[in-house]
Amino acid sequence: MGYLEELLVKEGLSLVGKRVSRPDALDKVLGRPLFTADKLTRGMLWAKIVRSKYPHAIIKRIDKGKALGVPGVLTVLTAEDIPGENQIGYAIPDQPLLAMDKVRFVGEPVAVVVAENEEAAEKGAELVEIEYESLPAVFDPLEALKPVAPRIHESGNIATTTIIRKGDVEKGFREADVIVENTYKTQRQEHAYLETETVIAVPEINKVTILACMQSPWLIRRMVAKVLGYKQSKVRVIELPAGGAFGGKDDMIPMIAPIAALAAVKTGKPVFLMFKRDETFEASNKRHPSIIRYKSGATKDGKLVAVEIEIIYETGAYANRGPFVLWRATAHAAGPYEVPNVKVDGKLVYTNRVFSGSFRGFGDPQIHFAAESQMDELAAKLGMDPVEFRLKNILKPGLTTTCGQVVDQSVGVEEALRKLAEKINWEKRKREIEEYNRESKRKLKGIGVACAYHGISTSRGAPDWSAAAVIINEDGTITYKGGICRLGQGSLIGHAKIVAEILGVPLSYIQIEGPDTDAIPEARPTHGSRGLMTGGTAAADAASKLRRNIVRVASEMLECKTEDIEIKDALIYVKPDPSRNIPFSEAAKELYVRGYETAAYGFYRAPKRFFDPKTGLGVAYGVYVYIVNIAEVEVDTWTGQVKVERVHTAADVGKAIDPDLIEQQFHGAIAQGLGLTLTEDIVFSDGKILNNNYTDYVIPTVKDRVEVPTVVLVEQPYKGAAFGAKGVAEAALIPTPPAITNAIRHATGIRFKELPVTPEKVYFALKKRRGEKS
Amino acid sequence: MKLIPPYRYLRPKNLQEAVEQLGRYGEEAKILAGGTDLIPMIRDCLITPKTMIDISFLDELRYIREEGDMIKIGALATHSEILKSPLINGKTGVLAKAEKVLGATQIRNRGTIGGNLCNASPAADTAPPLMVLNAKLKAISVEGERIIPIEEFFTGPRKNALKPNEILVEVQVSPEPEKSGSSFIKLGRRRALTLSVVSTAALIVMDGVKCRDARIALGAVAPTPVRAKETEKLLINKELNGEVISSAAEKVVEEINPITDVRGSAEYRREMSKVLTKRCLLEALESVKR
Ligand SMILES: Cc1cc2nc3c(=O)[nH]c(=O)nc-3n(C[C@H](O)[C@H](O)[C@H](O)COP(=O)(O)OP(=O)(O)OC[C@H]3O[C@@H](n4cnc5c(N)ncnc54)[C@H](O)[C@@H]3O)c2cc1C
Repeated sequence: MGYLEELLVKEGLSLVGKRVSRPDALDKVLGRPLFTADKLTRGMLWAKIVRSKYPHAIIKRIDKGKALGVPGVLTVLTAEDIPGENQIGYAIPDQPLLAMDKVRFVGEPVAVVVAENEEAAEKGAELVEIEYESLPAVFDPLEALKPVAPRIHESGNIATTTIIRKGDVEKGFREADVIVENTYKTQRQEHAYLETETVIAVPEINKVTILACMQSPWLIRRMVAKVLGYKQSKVRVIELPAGGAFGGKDDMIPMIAPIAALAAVKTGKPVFLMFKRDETFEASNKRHPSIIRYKSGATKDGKLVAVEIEIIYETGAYANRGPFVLWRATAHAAGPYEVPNVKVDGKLVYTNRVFSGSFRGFGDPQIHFAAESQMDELAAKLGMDPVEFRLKNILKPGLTTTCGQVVDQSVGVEEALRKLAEKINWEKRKREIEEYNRESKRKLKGIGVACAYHGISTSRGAPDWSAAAVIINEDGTITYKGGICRLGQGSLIGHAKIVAEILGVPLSYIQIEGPDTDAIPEARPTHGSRGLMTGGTAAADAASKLRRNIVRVASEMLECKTEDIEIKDALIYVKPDPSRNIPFSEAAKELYVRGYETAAYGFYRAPKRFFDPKTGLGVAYGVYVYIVNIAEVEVDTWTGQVKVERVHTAADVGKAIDPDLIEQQFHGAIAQGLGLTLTEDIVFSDGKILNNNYTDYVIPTVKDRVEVPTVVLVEQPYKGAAFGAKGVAEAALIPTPPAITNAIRHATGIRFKELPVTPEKVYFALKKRRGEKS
Repeated sequence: MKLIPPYRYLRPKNLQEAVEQLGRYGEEAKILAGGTDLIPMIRDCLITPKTMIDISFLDELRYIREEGDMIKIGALATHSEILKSPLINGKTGVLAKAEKVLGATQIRNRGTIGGNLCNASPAADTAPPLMVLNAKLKAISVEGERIIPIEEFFTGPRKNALKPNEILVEVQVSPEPEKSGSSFIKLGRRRALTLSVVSTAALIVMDGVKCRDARIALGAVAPTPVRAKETEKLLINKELNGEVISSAAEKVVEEINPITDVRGSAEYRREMSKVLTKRCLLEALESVKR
């Protein structure tokens, strides 16, 4: 039996599956953790990015003279100062680190002022003279697709396209008794983390070290090496805990660490670079705005027969992660249902606005908003209950996804939906609400359901792996070196529980260390809900290897067979005779004395995935997390305000390593989904953002927080990961918007197809309908 | 981000000294109270005062007391202090209601009533309630004292009737009359820390079933907070019921002049002015102590 199979059947677990209070919780509440900006010390230089004021323009001339004259300014760097490649494009090489000949959005980095202090850097930045020749700009993806539109990149305004051709949609629609066709739109969302993007770069002889909040240490290493023309071993990246990341820091830190590194190498001094809040708003990646045309057909007995979908995702000035985001949306386009005939066409479109990129859900919230709105509209047309209609089509083991992947294990979406509907008494609650509405004049209530699935980790069959390391110290304590970043989600705490469980020690024995590229092999990024699943499996591998050595040395010390050794609560004993035992610490010391290996590296490798670019069909992801949200809302018909009273949620998580950690993710994801649904929107005027602050970019506050009274955890184990666990960090966000809009539809009879659903939109829609009625 | 130009920082020991300092630096100086409006504006370089006179330590301006038939609130009384005051809650409930939804705890702990008024935002949440209370504002300068009726205080967005050398020292209101009812409603974009998209205060005084006096004020729907006097006229001397209130509330759109901005469209603000006025009047009527 391999170690993964052993873990799946392991009995008498003492940590895994239990609610363990987070070792870092109190420190966080007391404000003790040190973030990147806390590491700023005297003697560090300040870097300030000079940004484009134009949405689209040719750079005619850059004059550094006046800026260099400011006392304290040491240097001003532009594209020509880059020793390596001036290229930070992620999926497509379309994005310079510092703009060369042309700028493509307001906020694009053009130059960097490096100074002895913040004031000098700011002043220098004001005095860098950049002469532009303005070009016509395009701000709307539909406009950008027109042949007459200004060309943003030489290759045109389409960054990439995707397709899926499964079955025969024409035949499918011929079999359909009802057809629903709608266009959905979603907006640009800002990550809104407390801590803005911050990086420190420290030069050494022929080497540079990066310290920062981040999600992708090894990508940062690659980018810094590329820009500086260094070998990877000459760049060390040390991760520091982040004050929120949500995908933003996955893209942004690899784009700005090279700037700090360049400044550090050029000046020979450590450099500090931190975005101001308005820079984060204006120049950091956002959730892709989308326009989705969606046609669905079903038979009168409630079977989905075909979907035809056109997806447009606006990537802004650069492709960044867009191709992967679009691909993910394409691969999930039909929702967690079996649909025999699927046709999807996706386009990733450039505009002269800030680039889009990674954001919790990674393309899936937009497509599920459309897919799950369609499901309710079909159910309504068929006169069927939304839960019943979903159950008729829901994915089950042996059925195929949008892209034709047969899902074979850990497909607990049916169980999740059934259990949640039962637990909250869906039918009864729906009837109660409808009764309430018959009496109520001003306030209308509604209840709505939405399901979602989300492939764990990387898209497009890209190779996927992870790594970790454990060291047993002479006193028996364990140093765990994780490869997954600390974003507040607690993945490494989950890893530590796995390590402690396998080694038979209390959690307090484990010292958790974040990623350091000089300490462990590449572990791949912290995204795609992969942190616990892939990193935790690497941790389990490392711990299992170390355990073998401990068991061997203990069996020598206790003079018994290795199979008879058991370790629990840091006591090593002989199973048939527990009175023969030694403390864990003694075995640790003996490992050193007898010259056994006292450290182990662990690895995780994802199963092979593939896809056929001609049809889009294939095996898109190793495994999917499934989630169901049920939202209850109250609509104030006088003002159009929507109050989300409750969101109930259920998910197939494979195995809950810690239910608390999972619920924390659900709460956060639902809050972020609430903002996406009701209030958040980046507003532009001529390519410039009008609401680059928290006064007018409206995220939910603690008072707007939604109650999540019901959480159902379904555990259908995934055999490819330690203890069967899957990732959950993004899941609960994805069905939140459609669950809420489906509830609003239930309350008012009005289908909102554009996010955010502001009070204004609701009010005028209600008013219009009153007018139509009278 | 621009650099904040250097400025002179003064911390007067008493009101007298503050008045003298402001007399000396006048136009180029700014009074600093809680700083919750001023500091963000300075950070964004919307204003660049050469001199800052920090009056936040002058405890002589931090009080809430009853004198004769007047309630007097020192300009430095914070929103939290006002919110917690039994006097305010007992006698000018409409103001307490507004304080409850102003900003959030941290802002209320720091922000002052004087700052809220002097900042003269059309959305200032204490303005509509103080307008329906017919508040009087006491200002002091080297030239002496004067009383400014609140209706004359707001002269434009972020503009007030104070002369450059005047400090606002006190807000004076009469308690809500016998047989009156009042309410304040704020429509924001979330449940805390939100500027009003529309806000409404109403106070009605009843004489049996008849309305003896009605006062309505709105925020965020014109260059300044406004009284809706024509609407009020439709209520005074009328028997108040749902219908009368509803039809009067329609009138309110003629007395406002809202704009479209990222917080809401002019059209929505007009609609909401009617809705909120109606709701506010109904709530006020409901609360009349008979
Ligand atoms: C996050 C946040 C949320 C907020 N939410 C709300 C809200 O919901 N509703 C709302 O109405 N406001 C809100 N505000 C605005 C602000 O908090 C209030 O207007 C507050 O009352 C201002 O008082 P202050 O003492 O901080 O004024 P300051 O910032 O110190 O001063 C404001 C202005 O008034 C002048 N000034 C102050 N005192 C005097 C005086 N005695 N004499 C002459 N001039 C004076 C100053 O020179 C300055 O121009 C919010 C602000 C923030 C930052």
